[in-house]
Amino acid sequence: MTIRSLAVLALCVGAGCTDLSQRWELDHARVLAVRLSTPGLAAGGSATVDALVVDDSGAPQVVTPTAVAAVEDATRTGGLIIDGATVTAGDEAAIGAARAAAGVAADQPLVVTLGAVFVIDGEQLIATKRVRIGTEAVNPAPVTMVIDGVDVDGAATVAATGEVALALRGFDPAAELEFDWLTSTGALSRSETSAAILELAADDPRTGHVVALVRSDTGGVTWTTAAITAP
Amino acid sequence: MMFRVPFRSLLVGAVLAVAAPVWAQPAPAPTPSPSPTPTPPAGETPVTITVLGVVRDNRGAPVAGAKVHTDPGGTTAIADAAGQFAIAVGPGELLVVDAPGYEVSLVAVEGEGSIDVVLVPLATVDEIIEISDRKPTAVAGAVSLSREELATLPGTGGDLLAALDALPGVTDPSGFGGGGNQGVIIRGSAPEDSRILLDGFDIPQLYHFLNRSIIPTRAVAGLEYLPGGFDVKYGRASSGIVSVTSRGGGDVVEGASEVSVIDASVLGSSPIGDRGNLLVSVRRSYLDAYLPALLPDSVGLITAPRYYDGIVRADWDVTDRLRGALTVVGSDDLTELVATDDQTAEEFKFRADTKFIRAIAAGYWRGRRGLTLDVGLSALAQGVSFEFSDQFLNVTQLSLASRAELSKSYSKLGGLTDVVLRAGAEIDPRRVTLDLRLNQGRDEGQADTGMDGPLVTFNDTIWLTDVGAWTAIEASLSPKIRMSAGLRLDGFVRNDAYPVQPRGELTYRPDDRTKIRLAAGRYTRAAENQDELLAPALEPESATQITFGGERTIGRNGSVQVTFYDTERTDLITRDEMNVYRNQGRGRSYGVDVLGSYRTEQWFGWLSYSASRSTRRDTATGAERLFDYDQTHDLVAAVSYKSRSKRWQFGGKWTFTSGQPATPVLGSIYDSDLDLFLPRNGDVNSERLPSHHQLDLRIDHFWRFDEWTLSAFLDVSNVYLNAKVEQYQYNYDYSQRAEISGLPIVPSIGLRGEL
Repeated sequence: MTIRSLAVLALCVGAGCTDLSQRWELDHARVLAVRLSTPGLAAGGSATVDALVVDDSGAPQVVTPTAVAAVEDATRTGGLIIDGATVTAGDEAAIGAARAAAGVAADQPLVVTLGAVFVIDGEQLIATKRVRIGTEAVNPAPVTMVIDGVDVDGAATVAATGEVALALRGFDPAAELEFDWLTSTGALSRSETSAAILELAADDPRTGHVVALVRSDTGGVTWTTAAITAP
Repeated sequence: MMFRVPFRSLLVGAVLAVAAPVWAQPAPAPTPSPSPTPTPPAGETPVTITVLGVVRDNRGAPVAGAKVHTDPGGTTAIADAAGQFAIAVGPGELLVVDAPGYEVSLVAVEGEGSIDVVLVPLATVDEIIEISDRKPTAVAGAVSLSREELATLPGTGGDLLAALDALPGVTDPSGFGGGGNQGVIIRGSAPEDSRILLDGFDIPQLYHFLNRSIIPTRAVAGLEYLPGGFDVKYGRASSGIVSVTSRGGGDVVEGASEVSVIDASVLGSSPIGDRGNLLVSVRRSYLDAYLPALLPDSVGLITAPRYYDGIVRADWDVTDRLRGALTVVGSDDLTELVATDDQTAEEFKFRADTKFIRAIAAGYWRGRRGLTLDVGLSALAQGVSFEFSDQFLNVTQLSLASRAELSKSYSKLGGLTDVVLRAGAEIDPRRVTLDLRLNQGRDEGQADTGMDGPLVTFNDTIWLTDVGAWTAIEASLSPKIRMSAGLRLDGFVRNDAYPVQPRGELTYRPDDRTKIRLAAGRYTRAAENQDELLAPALEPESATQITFGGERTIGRNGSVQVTFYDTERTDLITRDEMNVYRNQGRGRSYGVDVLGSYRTEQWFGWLSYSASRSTRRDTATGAERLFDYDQTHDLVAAVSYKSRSKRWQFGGKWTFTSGQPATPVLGSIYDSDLDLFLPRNGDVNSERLPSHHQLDLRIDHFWRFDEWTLSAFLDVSNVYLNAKVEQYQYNYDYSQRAEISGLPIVPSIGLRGEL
C-alpha cells in the first residue's frame, strides 16, 4: 500500500467512506463470544462450551455448539477429550508430551484451539476458542449493565431520542479487560470502552437490544444483555 | 540517447559559427504529397501555409534547437527538444534547416503538411554516407510525446504523467491499487519493474497528492515511452522505461503563469549572452487553504496536503562542439492529520513528508568523424518520513550517480553500412538510512488475512552500489534491413549479482511508410524495492522479452502501430512459508498494443488499445494466478480540435478499462479470543472489480495580445459521473462488502498567461 493510499484511508477513517455495518451493530446473525465455563484447565479438568449469539433481528441468546473439534494435530492436544460441548483435559503425562511436541515450556500453558459450530436461524457459523491446559484461568466476574445511572436487570426503558449513557458495574478496574458494546437500535460511540454512549434518533427502531461483553487476556469472557424500549 | 536530447537545445545561435559546406538533403519519406495551394489574387496578401516537421540526425535522434528558416530573411522556427517545429511559409518556398555540428539541409515546401528533415553530422563530411529516412532507434511500441501533445491531451489536465495513462500498455497508474508513488505499471509488470527517468536519471517520486506530476509539463521538452525491448543503455528495469526530457530555455525571454483550483505555477526562461540560456519553474499547491473546511470535525488537519516543486535548467555552449547543462529539480510534499477513533476514543496521527532534490550536470560533445561523447553526473538527496499511529518509516537517501556513453559512426565498416558503435558505463552508489517500525504490508498476490502482518523493525544504514556497462552496434544489412545488437552487464554489488543481458533488434522496411521490427533481450532489476533491502542475499529479478510489431504512416498525418509482446519472468521475489524472501516466483505477460494517431494543424486524434494477460506463480511449481495489475482491456480514444482562429480548443477522451483482479471472500471464521473475524478467501485474483469507462473533456480559450497570450481552461474528468471502483472493502465480519470508488468528477479550471 502506498503512502498516498494510507493518506486516503486515514481520511476515510475520519470521514466514513462507506455504509458498511459497524462492529457494534446487531443487524445480522453472528457469534458474539464463545465461552468456556473454565478457560484454563488443570490436568483432568473439564469445561463446557457455549456462546452468546444474535439472530437476524439482533436478539441475543446463549446457545451450545452443534459440534466441537480440536483444530490441532492430535499430538499437541495433551490428550484432550471432547464429548459434545464438554472438553476434558488429559493427564499430566499427556500434557507434558504435548508441551514437548509443541515446544512449550513446562511452566507455560498448553494452548489448544477448538473449533465450534453454531446454528442460528438455520445458518451455520464457525468460531474458534482457545483452551489453556495446565493452568488455572477463570472468566471475569459477572457485570451489571447501568443505563442512565440505573442498574438494569434484563430490560430498560430509555428516552425516545437523544443520548443514553451506558456503563458497567462489577468488573475489576485493576484487571486487563477489554470491553465491547453492541446494539440493535441507535448508534454507539466509545463502544470499546467501559462506558459507551447510545444515541437514538427518531427513525431508529423503538425496541432493541444492548449487549456488553467483557474479555480478559487469559481467554475469559462474560456478558450482560438488556432489552430496551424507547417509547 | 536519452540525456543527449536536451543539450541540443543549446545550439540555437551557434549555427553560423560552423563553417561547413552546404550539403543539401532531400526531404525524406514520407514525402508530402502536393496539395492545392491557392494563388493569391493580385493586391491581396500572399497566402501562407503552416508546415509541421521533425528534424532528426542520421541516427534518428531528434535535433533540438535546429533552426528552420526561409532564405533570405524570412520566418524562423526553432525545433524543440523532440526535434519538432512549425513554421508559416509561402507555397513553393525553400526551407533552410541547420544546426551546429550538422550539415545544412534544404527542403522545398510543396504544401501544407508535415515533413521529416534529416541532418548529417559534420563529422561525416569526409565520408561517403548514405542517408535514409531512418526513424529513431526506439523499439516497436515506443511512443514519443512532445510538450504540446502532453499539455493538450484531453483528460489529463495538462499533467505530464497523467498522459501516461493514455499510452498503450500502461495500466491506470492512479488510484489506490495502482503504482502511485512507486512507479508506473507497464505491460503487466510491477511498478518497481520500470523506471522513470529525467534527463537520464531516476526520479525518486512521481506524483504529488491527487496524482499531480511533480514535473510541470511546461518545463518538459518531451516524453519517450519504451514499454519493452529497449536498448542496452538502459538497465535496472525488467519491464519498461519512461524517459522525460527537461526543457531548455529559448532564444528569447519567455514567461508563463498558471493558476488553477489546485495549484499555481510560474515559469520563465531567458537567454544568457550568446551561448547560454536559463529556465526556471516553480509551483505551489493551495489545497491546504480550503480543504480543512471540507472535512468533518473528527479529522484534525495539522497540515493539509500541500506541495512545492521546482525545476531550474541552465544550458551553455562551451564551444561549437561541446555543450553543458545543469538541471536541478526538487519537490516537497507534506500531509499531517490527527483523527479520533469514536469507538476507542483514541487519537491516531497520520503524517507523510516526502522530499527530494536532484541535480544533474551533463556534457555533450560532438567530435569529428562521427565521434560523440555524452556524460552525466547527478547528485540526489531524498527524505521520506511517514507516521501512522504507532508505526513509522524514516528514509534518507544520498546518491552520486554518473554515466557516460561514447559512440562512433562509420559510413561503411566490415561490409556493413551506416554503422554506429557505442559503449557506455554508469555507476550509482547510494547511502540509504532506514529507520522503520511497520507491520509487513500485503504482498502482491496475497489475499487479505484479516490480521496485521508481522511487525518489522530496522534501524541502520545500507550502502548500495549499482554499476553497469554496455556496448552495442547498429548497422544496415541492406537498404531495407537494419539491425542492432548489444550486451549489457549490470553489477548489483550489495547482492553480489552481475547479470549479463544480451539484447538485439531487427528492423525491416518494405517501403518508406512501413516498418516491421523484432526485438528480443534479457532484462533485470535489482532486489532493492522497499523491504527487499533487508534481504541482501536476493538475486535480481529477470525477464526475457520478445517484441514483434509494425508501424505504418497513413497519408500525411496519420500513423498506426501494432506491437505484440511476450515476457517470461523468472527469479521473482516472493515469500516462502517461513515468510522469507526468495527468488522463487515466475511470471508471464503477453498481449498486443495498438496505437493510431492523426494530427493536423487543427485536429489531433488518438486511439490506444491494449489487450493483455499477466500471470504469476509464487513458486516454481505453484498454481498460476492472475497478477494483481493484470488488465485485459485498456482503450483510450481522444480527440482535440483547434479552431481556425486559434482562439478555441476542444478536447475529449474516453477510456474503457477492465477491472483489477480481486480475491473474493467466501465467508469468515470468528476468533473469539481475539474478537476478530478471519476471512475465508477464494482463489487469489479469481474475480475482478467492475470494468470502468469515463469521458473527460477540456476546453481552452485564448486571448492573444501583441506581447502575450492569456488563456483560460476548463478540464473536467469523468463528465458523466461514472466513478471508478478502486477496490472492495469488507465489513468487520466479511458479511458485507462495498465498492470504494474514486472521485466521481474532477473539474479543474484555471488561467494561464504566456509571454
